[in-house]
Amino acid sequence: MKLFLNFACVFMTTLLFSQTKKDTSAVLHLRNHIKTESENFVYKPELTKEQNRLLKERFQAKVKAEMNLIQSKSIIVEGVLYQRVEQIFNRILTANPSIPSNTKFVIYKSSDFNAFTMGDNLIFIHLGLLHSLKNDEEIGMVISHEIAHNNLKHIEQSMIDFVKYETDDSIKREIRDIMKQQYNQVSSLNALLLPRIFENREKSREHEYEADSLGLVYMINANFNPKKAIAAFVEMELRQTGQVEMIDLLKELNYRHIPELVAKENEYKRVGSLGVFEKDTSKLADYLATHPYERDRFLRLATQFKQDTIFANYTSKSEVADSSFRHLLNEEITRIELENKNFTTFVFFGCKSLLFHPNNSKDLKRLGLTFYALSYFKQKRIAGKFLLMQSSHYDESFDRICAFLYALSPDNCKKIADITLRNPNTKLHEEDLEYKLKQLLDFVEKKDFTSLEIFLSTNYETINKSEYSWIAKEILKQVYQTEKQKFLIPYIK
Amino acid sequence: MKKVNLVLFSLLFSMLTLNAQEASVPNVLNIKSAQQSGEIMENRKIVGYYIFYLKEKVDKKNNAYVIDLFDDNYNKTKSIDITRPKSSILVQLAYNGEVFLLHFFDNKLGYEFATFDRSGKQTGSNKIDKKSIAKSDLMQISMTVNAGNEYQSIFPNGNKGFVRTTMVDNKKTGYEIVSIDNNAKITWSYKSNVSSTSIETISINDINNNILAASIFKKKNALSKEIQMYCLLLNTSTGKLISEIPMGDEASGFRSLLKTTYNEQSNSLILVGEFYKPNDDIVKDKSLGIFIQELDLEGNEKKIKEYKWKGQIDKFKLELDPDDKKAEKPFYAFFHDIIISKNGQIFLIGEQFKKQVSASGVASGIAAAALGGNSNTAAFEVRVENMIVIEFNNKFDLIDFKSIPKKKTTILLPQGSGLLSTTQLGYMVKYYGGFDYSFTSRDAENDKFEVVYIDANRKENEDSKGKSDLMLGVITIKNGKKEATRVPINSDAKSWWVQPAKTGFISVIEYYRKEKRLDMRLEQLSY
Repeated sequence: MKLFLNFACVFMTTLLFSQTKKDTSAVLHLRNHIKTESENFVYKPELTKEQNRLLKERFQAKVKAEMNLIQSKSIIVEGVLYQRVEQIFNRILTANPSIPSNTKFVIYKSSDFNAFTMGDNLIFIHLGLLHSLKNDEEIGMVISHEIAHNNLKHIEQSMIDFVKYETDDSIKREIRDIMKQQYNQVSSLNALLLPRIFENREKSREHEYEADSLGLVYMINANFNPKKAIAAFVEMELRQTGQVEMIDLLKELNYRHIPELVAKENEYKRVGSLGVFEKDTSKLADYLATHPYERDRFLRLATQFKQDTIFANYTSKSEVADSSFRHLLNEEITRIELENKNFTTFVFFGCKSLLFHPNNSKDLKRLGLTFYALSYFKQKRIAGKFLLMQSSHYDESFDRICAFLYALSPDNCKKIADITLRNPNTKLHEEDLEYKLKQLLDFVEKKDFTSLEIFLSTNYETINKSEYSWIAKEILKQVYQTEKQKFLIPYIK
Repeated sequence: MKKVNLVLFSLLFSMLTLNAQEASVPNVLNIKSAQQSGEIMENRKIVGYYIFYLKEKVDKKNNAYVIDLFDDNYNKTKSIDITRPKSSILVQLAYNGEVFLLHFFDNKLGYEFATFDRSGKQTGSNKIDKKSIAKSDLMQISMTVNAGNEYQSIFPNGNKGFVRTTMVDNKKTGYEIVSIDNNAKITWSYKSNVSSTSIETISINDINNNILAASIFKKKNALSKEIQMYCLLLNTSTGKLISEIPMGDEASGFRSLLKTTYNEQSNSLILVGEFYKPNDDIVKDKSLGIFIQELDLEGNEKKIKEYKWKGQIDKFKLELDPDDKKAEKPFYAFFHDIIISKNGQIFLIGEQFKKQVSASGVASGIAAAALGGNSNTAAFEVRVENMIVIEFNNKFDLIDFKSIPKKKTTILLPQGSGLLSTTQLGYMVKYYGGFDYSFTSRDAENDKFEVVYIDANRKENEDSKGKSDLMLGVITIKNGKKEATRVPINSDAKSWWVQPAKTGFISVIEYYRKEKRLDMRLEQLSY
């Protein structure tokens, strides 16, 4: 969705991932797919020799980024979750012969609400987007939109534009002159480059409208309900403006019979200490967004396809039949958030998951152990590194979780962990990762370093490969800081 | 070519990080700019934080700066762009709920007081030419800024404006209290007697309910041993003098004023200090003990109680380290704060200190003399000891006192410090940053106060083999009950520091040089 800027972002991200697992046949298949597609680089007659050389360089860098991405641990290319999305994908593909039949998609393990393509008939759909959208039509709309970007060659166009900017001697000269200036460097650079960036954004917005329009054609051809598909934009606008219905997620932690914890929850204040500040409407944020306002996109589509143009008449609903799909999404996204070293987003998605499946053993165990770990982090005053104070990316229920987690004492955290693990579905078994992490925490709290050393020699590898690896490392770092136990050195490097 | 690409990429990259986590500031080019930061106070409560940094050079004389404002949870709420002379330093940022008042100091030009409303629009500016500023005031501000110490001369005056204190050149050095409205215009000013033959200095203690309470020090000249202290009360709406109350007299004995605070519950003022024997000199002689006094808002005494060091407060000694022989020797207390809880109990927060001969001071004196010169170091040092909490009920009965042990530290003072009274010596130690007391965070609404100090003993407990990077001591006073804890703080960053934060928390600021990133996090102090 975010086209070229996302390409830069993803390119950087992929550099961080190493090739850590053996390629499965699905990954091999994708690699061959990209390799074949990358062989199709065609020199553009309208570009100079130098521009074509740069374009090829960019093209190769993009292919490399794609390759790295699909070989990293951050994509899903098979399994039940993948197959469920594949059903929607194939339905669109089958109904639209104009879409190249070798078009593929992967699920990108990120909780962001996003999807993107880098061309090459390959679509990346973020897990966070699948998690937030309510039904097949909404998911289909996003997939179709990305396929449309791919088919309309928007990426290629953006890369050509970028190369043109890069080789524009007049810009280069002006930048060089600015860099020689003693004063006003930032302002002069802004004055020079911002109009070009705005122009680029305008073009990008036009690309978005085009992709919306063609995407909806694909959806209609695939016999999806267009009204339900357009509702995806309603969902997006509600998210952006924070108008989503606030769900009482914290009730999923089942602590409300403990007044002390309820008091902590009630410490939440909606308005910040400096009050509410007016948003800077004149500033660049709106211009810099690659996407037009969702309302505008919605109106254009509804008008073009003769659908109801009254925004309020669109509501998106989760479908009951999707229960197992939701379950898989929730489980995967909570694991990712835990890997992302962020207690707040983890608890947020963990509670969301419990909302759909209150007795989900995996979620409950993860939450329980995470609260034990948080208790230790709070004792050591390092919890602040792994907690968010607020985020504009989520609704108010997220802010409530932020405030609650901040307000908890180590004992409060333990109480929540105990409640969570008291559920009959959450009995810890020896083979559970959570059982191992609990053991580690117990040895640390009891300062039983002999047992800890033995435990680490046999179990550390397993923990280190799991979503709990960073938690274990942080705990051991803290123990080393205060106790200087030398056997810990290899584990904290 | 490479350079150009880099610029383009940087620009794009900075846009991509616009939505980064609010508590992280990207593209902070150097630690020096990041450290020009502080707290935003409103009614003695921390309501936010600010960072002041250079954006670019505008011309030969001026720079463009950005002030980022954060609420107490480090959510960025506003950015203010300003252009000021390149030698400008932001010395203080105060907030009164309506406007922000920024005090700039320019070594060439003088002072500027500028107000900005909540939309970031400048609402006023008041420039004071360097020639019109007293030399003593310029000297004080330069020394404070150069030493990196906190400078507080501005206090919010309700939401109508602010008051600030400054030194003035009278016959001798005097003081002035200036009231500034939300448009940076002066509404009134109160000056010490222009023809006074004494040096008069001021320290504002509290502004509340239209009353300003301050301690006034008067002495004949810089070397004079005769000091008299007064409690000054002003009406903050009009600037009119309510009363200037002398702290005792020769016949009944002098008193030194250490702290004043407004008691909301009884709508009165509480004064705390030390008292002396009749005819005793507050510089030369030792005080007899401490007094606690209540005044109405007209400055009339409602009640006063005195407690002697000997026989009444000397129970402190019992709580000192029994193996520490020096602990038996007399000590003084410097009071940092007065806390009044909702049940009317009054807590004096102090720190013990005493003078002792300094081996290094004597040695450097001998060495300097041998070389035919002088050493600026005094032959004695000040040993800073335990934290103390003295507790009174609402009738001023002494009901408890507690000595909270911490590792002893020493501070060498400049020559001549030996002539100072214990009160002045306390202020001198404070000025040189010798006390371990750091700050008090207040949440009067929820009857919770936290006194934070640094403990040089960085071991978490006696059997710990390692040390934490920093050990904070925390005295929590909640619902009239006090509790002391020690809090270890650790960081992975090479450059990091802590800053006061909202009640119950400490800000840990970490600078990652490679990533040019400044992370700000809050850690809980007490649970």
